[in-house]
Amino acid sequence: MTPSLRLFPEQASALAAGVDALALATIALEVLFLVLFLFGATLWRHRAPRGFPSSLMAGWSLFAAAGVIALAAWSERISKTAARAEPAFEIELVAKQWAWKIRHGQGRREINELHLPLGYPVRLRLTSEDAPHLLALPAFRLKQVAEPARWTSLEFVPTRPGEFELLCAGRCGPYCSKMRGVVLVMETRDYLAWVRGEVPGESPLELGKRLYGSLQCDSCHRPDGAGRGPSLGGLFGSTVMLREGGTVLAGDEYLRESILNPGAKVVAGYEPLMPSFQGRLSESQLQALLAFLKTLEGGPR
Amino acid sequence: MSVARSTASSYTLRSWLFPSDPRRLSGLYLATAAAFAAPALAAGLVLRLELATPAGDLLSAPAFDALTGFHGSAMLWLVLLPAIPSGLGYFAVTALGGATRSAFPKLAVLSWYLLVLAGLDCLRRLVYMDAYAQAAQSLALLSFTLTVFNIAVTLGRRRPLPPFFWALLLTAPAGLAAAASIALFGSSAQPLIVLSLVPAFGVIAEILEDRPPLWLLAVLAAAPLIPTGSRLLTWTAPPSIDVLVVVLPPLGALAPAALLVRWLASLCVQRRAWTAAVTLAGVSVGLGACGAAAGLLLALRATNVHLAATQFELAHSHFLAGCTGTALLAGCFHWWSSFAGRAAPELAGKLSAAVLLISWNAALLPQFFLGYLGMPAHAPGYAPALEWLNLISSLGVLAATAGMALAVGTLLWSAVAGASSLRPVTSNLDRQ
Repeated sequence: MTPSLRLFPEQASALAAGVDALALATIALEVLFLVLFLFGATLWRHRAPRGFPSSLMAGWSLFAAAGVIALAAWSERISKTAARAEPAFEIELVAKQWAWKIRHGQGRREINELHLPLGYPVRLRLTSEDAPHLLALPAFRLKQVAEPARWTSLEFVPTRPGEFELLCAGRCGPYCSKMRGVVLVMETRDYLAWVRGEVPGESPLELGKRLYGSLQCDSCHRPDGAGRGPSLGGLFGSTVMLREGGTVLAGDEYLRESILNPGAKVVAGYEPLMPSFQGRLSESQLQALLAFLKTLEGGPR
Repeated sequence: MSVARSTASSYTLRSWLFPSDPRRLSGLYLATAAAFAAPALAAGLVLRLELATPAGDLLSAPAFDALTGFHGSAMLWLVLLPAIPSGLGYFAVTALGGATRSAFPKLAVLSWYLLVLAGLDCLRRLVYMDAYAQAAQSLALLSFTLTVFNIAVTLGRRRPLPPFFWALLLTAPAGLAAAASIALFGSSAQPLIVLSLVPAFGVIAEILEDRPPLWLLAVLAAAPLIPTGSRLLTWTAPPSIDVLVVVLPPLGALAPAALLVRWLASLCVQRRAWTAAVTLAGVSVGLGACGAAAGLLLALRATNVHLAATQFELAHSHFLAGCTGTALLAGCFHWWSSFAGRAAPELAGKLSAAVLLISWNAALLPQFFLGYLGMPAHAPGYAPALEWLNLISSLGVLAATAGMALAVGTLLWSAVAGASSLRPVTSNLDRQ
């Protein structure tokens, strides 16, 4: 494999263009001031064979100071304009040696991956569980500290879809370089679906299967019947013996109740251990999960 | 009458353990700097070797972290800060001041022992893989301030006052203030590289036979305090004073620029003999100018957010470190004939100046791009897309290390086998 060469980062935020322009203008101005001084020095050469007169030094310094103050003012304007919009999405980042734990507005969590909506102002809120960290988003030209017992924030608008680098630049400890991840900027529609846990183009049955896996239903409801909860294979449509005596037909209504309020009708031979999923599943997710449960084939019951 | 003849009298154990002869002290300090620079530069070379390829395969992450800490603290505290004020300074009191001893000889010995203790602390922490050498920092900074004070007082008896005197006099309060700000606010030691520039600029002024306006040196000496100062303002001052926080750092970045541009112009337009010392001083000025130019980008808030803690910042501080380091070499070549009693190896000096100019730029210009691309300052691995730039940088560091070894090696060789020189000890400024 031949090593590859890249010289400039992508511009993934409105701020990025401003910062790049400021950097280039600063370098151009520096070259200009060097040339100006050299020109002045040539003029003074015959008058002052050793050293340059104080007037040249003072005059040049005043001009340079004025240039530098103008650059500082421009720099402030760039920073302030970028942070002006009212954020539409708020996302929490908790730094911990050695990962970024991320939580979105509707509770969706991820690690070392940051999904962002395209074109909308977002606010990242940062804190740390241990050492001080420094979140760096080079494609967005942004950095912010993440410190224990304090929230800091970072506001910006992602302007380009794609994958960008996310890392800790703070020398937070010996394995700091492991705190790397990726920012995934997606169309807002896709981001909203992603936050709700949907995958674009996914059928309800596929979503239900994914939820069944991600909620780890089968860690208790083991298919072989040996788990802490009863096996769910062939459950739909069967008749279930209850702990308090009596039976119930396992239809839509019973399954829904058992997910949202598991303690109401516990199966005979089992303890009421299952947590409630009330508020943790949207209606569409619940329906998808029910649709998948109906497809489970019978096992030992 | 050469100092080499007049003062190299005693070789007793006592004269080595408690030297009062400034030339002996100077030799001890230079030897100490070289002794600590060797492992610190070797550590730097190993770090760059690790970064020659994207995978973090040569060093474990904790080993990389520990070596980074050792390289940084040893170079700053044991080499860049002390070598010019003490190593060149104690000699300069005889060369420039005509004194046969420093104003406070016991203080001079004490500060050397403090420096050795600081060095031992750095080495001990390398063994325990503990990156941060706080004790070394305090000891070295105390030693530095005592030395600067001692030499400034000694040189102060001479008329007209040499630029090197002013540089040292202005460094002393700045060193004390920097020590206080590190102790009180835990502020970063990195601005102290700028502090090491002030004595280096004194040496360059001596070599280029220039008397820069004092206000420029004063502004430069105050520059390392600006980061702490603006931090104090952000904590305590009302928001209306925010403008100072915005404007002061860029103005501070301008302080070395004015002097460096002055010397660049002087080298371009004025006729002079390009001795090894002048060539090395010219390289020092060039490297300093690159560092100062990058410093302005780091001082503007919008670009600072993007570039802080990246390879860009690393390149900035290493250009400044290169400026101080080559100024130290230039000073050694400048005063060598009266220090060692032998002619300096002129050709090797000029060759090493050329190597250093090219290799230091090859090492650090790619790091400006790497930093702008977002590569952090201290990480053992990186994305494959950054491989070319890192490879060039590593090769540059390798060549630069060879260039430094060439200069130091030929100087040492000339002290043993060089042609005898009885050049009288004077300041160039006396001959105007």
